[in-house]
Amino acid sequence: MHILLIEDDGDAAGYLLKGLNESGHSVDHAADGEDGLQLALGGGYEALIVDRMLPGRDGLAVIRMLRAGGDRTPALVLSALGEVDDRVTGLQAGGDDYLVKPYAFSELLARLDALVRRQRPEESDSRIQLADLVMDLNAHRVTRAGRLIRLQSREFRLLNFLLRHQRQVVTRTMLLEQVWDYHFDPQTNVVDVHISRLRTKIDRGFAPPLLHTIRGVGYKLSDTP
Amino acid sequence: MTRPELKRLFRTTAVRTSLWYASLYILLAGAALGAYHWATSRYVDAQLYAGLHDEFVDLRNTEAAQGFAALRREVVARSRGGGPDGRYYLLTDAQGRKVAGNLARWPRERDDQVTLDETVHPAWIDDDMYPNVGDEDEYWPAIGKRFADGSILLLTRSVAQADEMQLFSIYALSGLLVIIVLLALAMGVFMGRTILARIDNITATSETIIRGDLSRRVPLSGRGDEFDELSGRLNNMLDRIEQLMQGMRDVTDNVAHDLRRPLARLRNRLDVVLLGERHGDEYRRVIEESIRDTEELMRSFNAILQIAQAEAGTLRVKMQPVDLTAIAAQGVEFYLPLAQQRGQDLSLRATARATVHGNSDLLAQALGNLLENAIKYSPRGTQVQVRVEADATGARIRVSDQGPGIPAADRERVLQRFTRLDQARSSPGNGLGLSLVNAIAGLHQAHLTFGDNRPGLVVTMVFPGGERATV
Repeated sequence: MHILLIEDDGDAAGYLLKGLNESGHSVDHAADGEDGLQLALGGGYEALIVDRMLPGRDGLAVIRMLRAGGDRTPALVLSALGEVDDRVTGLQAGGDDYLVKPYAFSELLARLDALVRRQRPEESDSRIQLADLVMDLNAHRVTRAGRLIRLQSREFRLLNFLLRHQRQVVTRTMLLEQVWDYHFDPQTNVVDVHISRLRTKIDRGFAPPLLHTIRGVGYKLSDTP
Repeated sequence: MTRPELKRLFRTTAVRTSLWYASLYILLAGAALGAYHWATSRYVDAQLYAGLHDEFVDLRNTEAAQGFAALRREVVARSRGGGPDGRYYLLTDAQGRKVAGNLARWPRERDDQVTLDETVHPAWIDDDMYPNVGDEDEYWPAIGKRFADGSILLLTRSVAQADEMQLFSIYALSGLLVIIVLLALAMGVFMGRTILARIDNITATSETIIRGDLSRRVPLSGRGDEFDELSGRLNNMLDRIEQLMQGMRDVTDNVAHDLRRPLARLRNRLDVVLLGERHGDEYRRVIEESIRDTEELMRSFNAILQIAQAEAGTLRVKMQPVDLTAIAAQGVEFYLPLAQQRGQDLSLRATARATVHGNSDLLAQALGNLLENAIKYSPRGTQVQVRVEADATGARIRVSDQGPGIPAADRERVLQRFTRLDQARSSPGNGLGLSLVNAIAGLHQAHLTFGDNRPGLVVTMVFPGGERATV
């Protein structure tokens, strides 16, 4: 996809450019808020990666101006400030996701992917499907190969998130934020335990396996490994 | 006392105030003295005039009833008196010759002033007109009458004694004034020196602190006065500053401790892999291990940042009413699969709905850390329980387990910021969990206590303020 990176730290920008290019994205880079805003106004980007602290014009100000002009390009805010309220103000300014430095590149990639795909209209509002796994949102019912799968409400939410981001890598942090609204990093493998419970329910006795663990990064719900 | 000391003393508020008061006393007392002098003069004059008039009436009546000879006898008899408050008489015949009396002659000069109209007027009396030596020439009250036969009676009275009395009262009052002023000054100096001594105490303490000894405190006099109050406040402020400084120091220590190991490991691994030729797979493995190390570093780093954030206090964290029961319910739900996987029973007991003023993200994290500790350190087949209680004294959230607990001797220590027990040091995790819980508790003005669950550990976070808890 075509991405605009607005980041004033040259080294960080260099690594991001290289990483994003190698992941198959084309990236334009602006080193300050003013240039970034001009490039973004030119349009044509599928996603923006905006550092919060920028010379010239603050990253949040850039996003705010774009939003004021009706530009809905998904924006991922990068910040060195790791505080709860900073995240809130970042999202309030029109950012779609917020990532605190230091972060793992895989995390950034997964979030970027999630942001862009979220923009795509869903096939049906009441039904999400992957292979023979079907979630009926109206009836609050999940079936696989026609067989009813009983899920607790949080498991339902977890599967819903995974289905909406099917064939994408989702990280533990993304799950924690989106499914549990937790903004901390558990020191235990508690998320893995939740995933393996869900896996038992949706994959045991069925083929192919749908819920995959991507080592070192997170999970992927997909019918192709 | 040296000159600069004296200068300093006279700059104190107390001395300045007492100087002002002394000046004011002088003005007021001077005015009062003047008024007093005026009033007493008036009174004494009135007394003198009345007395003189009475005597004159007496003599006039004698003359009217018994004739001139009787008057003359009476005047002769009365003239034997005299003295400082002496009365003086002069009786003359129609030709103005002295017939009787102790007044030598008719007031020579200013005769016109002696009006013989039977009322008292001041008359100029020379000192040669009467026998008492030493009195000055001055106006004395005098009263006179010219009788039908032309003879004249003149009565006058020395004012020496009245003057003396007035003088005495002026001296006495002036003396009093001087004493008052001296006392005011002495008090000012005394107070100034006392205040300076107390201020010097505070100054000395602050200078020690400036030089680096933050443990010093301003000594209290124990009198509970405003200086004690001020010193107490200063000491509280110093406590808080020291606490924050200690927190900073501990964070730095922790950064050093928690980041040094993974950093060293990372660096060593990368160094070693460069020492020789390796295969692509080996490079990949080393890079993957290195990424895991950086993840550990990042986790520690974030934990430290969060502690610093909580330490910074409510200035940087948004606080709002938070449903403690809901947080506990979600925490238990979140960690239940983990506990079950480890063969433990995790349950929630909420006796009341508890609302506290706080930050839900941080409170959820604090509970998460406590639950992770409980689950991590407890063996299979044990129970972990979360209890939420609220009553008039406040809200409490309690996590109890049946693990090894914390020895009573270490509980105090573990409550101190960032203390890590030896057994925790060797187990996995970055060891900042309890530190963060403690910092979050501090942010909420909550008190963290550790108890014995016989067996196991009970950690209780006690939130203050009954008014915040809705039962």
